[in-house]
Amino acid sequence: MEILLGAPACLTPLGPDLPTTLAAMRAGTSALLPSPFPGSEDPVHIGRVDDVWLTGSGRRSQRMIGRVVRHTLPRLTRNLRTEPRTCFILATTKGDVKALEQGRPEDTMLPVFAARMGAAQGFSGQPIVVSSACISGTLAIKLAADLIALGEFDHALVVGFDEASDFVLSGFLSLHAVAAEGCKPFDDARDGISLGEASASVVLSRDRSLFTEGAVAEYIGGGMGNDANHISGPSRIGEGLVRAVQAAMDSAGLAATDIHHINAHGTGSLYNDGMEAIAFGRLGLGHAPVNSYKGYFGHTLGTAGLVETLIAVEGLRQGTMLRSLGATNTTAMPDMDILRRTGTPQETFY
Amino acid sequence: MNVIAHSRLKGGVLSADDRELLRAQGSMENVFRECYKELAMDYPKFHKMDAPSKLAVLVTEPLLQRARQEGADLENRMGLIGMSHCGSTVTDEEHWAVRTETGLASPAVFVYTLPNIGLGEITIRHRIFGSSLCLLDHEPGTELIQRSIRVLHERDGMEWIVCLWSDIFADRYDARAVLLGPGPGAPADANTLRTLIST
Repeated sequence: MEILLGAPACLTPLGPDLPTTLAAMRAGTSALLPSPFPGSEDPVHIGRVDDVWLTGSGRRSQRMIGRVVRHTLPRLTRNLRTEPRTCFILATTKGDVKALEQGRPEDTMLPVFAARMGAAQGFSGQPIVVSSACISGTLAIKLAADLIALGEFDHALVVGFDEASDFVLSGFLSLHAVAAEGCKPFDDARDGISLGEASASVVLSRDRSLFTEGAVAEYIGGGMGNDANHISGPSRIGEGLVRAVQAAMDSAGLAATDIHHINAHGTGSLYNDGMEAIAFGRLGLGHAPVNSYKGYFGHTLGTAGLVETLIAVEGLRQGTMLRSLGATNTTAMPDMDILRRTGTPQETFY
Repeated sequence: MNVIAHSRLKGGVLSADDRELLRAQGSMENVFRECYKELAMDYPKFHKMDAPSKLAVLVTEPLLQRARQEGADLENRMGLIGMSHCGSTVTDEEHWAVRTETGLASPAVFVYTLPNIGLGEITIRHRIFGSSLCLLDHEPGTELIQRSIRVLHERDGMEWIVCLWSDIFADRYDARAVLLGPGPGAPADANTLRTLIST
C-alpha cells in the first residue's frame, strides 16, 4: 500500500509558512535572538514565533495550531473534517503549559487541550495525543502511517505544537543545558540547546487524489527504540537511536548504502550530538551528509520531528540540502559528513 | 495476543491477577513505599522518582517479572503502551511552584515533567529497547488500546506488550496494567480489555 504525505504547513520563528521558513534557511538566517530571562544573569537565545503572524482570538496555542491547520485543509480535494475513516493526531510535549503559569493547571492536561483544539478546528471526536518528549512529532508520523497501513484509517491529519515557555526554559537552565549564545549543533564548541517554538501539520493518506498539489513524499518505513539509559541523558553509544534507525531501514527494505542524507536531531548538546555521531557510525552511515536545523530556530520539542521532516522534504524537492547552521569546526567528528554549505547534492560535495 | 497477566494499584491495594499482593494504609507515598518492599525490588533509583513514575513502575513490576519467568525477550520484543489523563501534571505543578517560589527551577523535579517519563523508568529498570507509545486520553478506551496493540505487534514485531493506564492527580491515583503475549490466556479482545483496563 502506498502511504503518502501532502499539504504540509508550518509556523516557525523564521516565518508564517513553509516556503518563507525554507527561504530564510537557504539564506542562512537564524531566528535565535537574545532576550532577558528571569533567573538568568545573561540574555538567553530563544526562537520565537512572531505574534503578527497569528490571527483571530483565543489562546496563543490554539491560534498557532489554527494557522497551520487552515493552511493544510484547503489543499485537499475533500473535507477532512467530515471524511470518514480519518484520524487526527496531535504531537506535543507540553501543550498549553502556559496555562499552568497563569494558574490553571486543569487546562494543561493534554486530553483537555487536544479536545479544545479538535473542536476549534471543526473536528468531531477526540484527537489521539502522542507525547513522547522530543520524538513526539516523528512518532506521530509513524503512528499515522502504521494505522493507515493496518487499515484502521484511510487518512490522518498530524499536527505538532509546542510553545517556548518559562516552564521549559527555566528547567533547561537549571540543568545547565542551554547554550550561551545560539546553539551550535555538531560544532566542536557546542555548549547546549536553544529553545524554539513551532506548529506544523501534514496529511497522510492512502489516496493520492486527496492532494490538490500532489503528494510531497511517500512514507516507506519507520522505526523506534527505547534508549533505556537515563531519563535525561542519552546512551553514550546511541543504543536507542541505532535500534530505531535500523528498524526504520529494515521496514523500508533499505541498506545503509541507500541512505544519501540524514536530517538529525542535533540539539547542540554535547552528549546528544556526540551520541548521534557514534550511532550513525555504528550504522555505517558515515557517508551520508548530515544536518541539524536547531541552529536556525531552536529546539521545538514535540513539534521538532514533524516540522523538521516537512522542511527536509520541501528542501529536497527543491534539490537542496541545507547546511547545518552553527557547525563551523567539526574536527571532533571526522567520520561524519556534516553539511557546511547549502546547495544541491553536487554543490555540497567538497 | 493473549492476556497473560494483569495488575492494579488503587486505594492502597496492589493486586495481580485478582490476587491481593498488598493492602497498605496512609499517604500515597507510604503506600508506594510498602509496595516497593512487598515486590522486593532492590532498586535504589526508585526512591528518586516522582509519584507518577513510581506508580507506573510499581504496577508493571509484577507483570514484567512474570514476562521474564515466561522467557520473554524483554530487550528486543517487549512493547510498552503507556496511557494517562493527567500525565505529569502533579510534577508540572511542583516544578512550577519551585520556580515561582525560589526564582529558579529544581533540575531533579524538572526532568520528570513529561508524561512519558514513567515509561522511560520502566525501560531503564527492565532493559527494554523495543517500541513504546505514550498516549494521553480522557479515559482508557478499548478502541485506542487495541489500535496501539496492533501497531506494536503487527508493525513493530513486538511479541509481548505491557499496556498501562496510570493516572495521578493530587492524592488520587489509579493504575492498571495488562501483560499480553503468546502464551495461554484470554484473547486480548475488546471485552477482556474493557474488564481489565477500561473499568
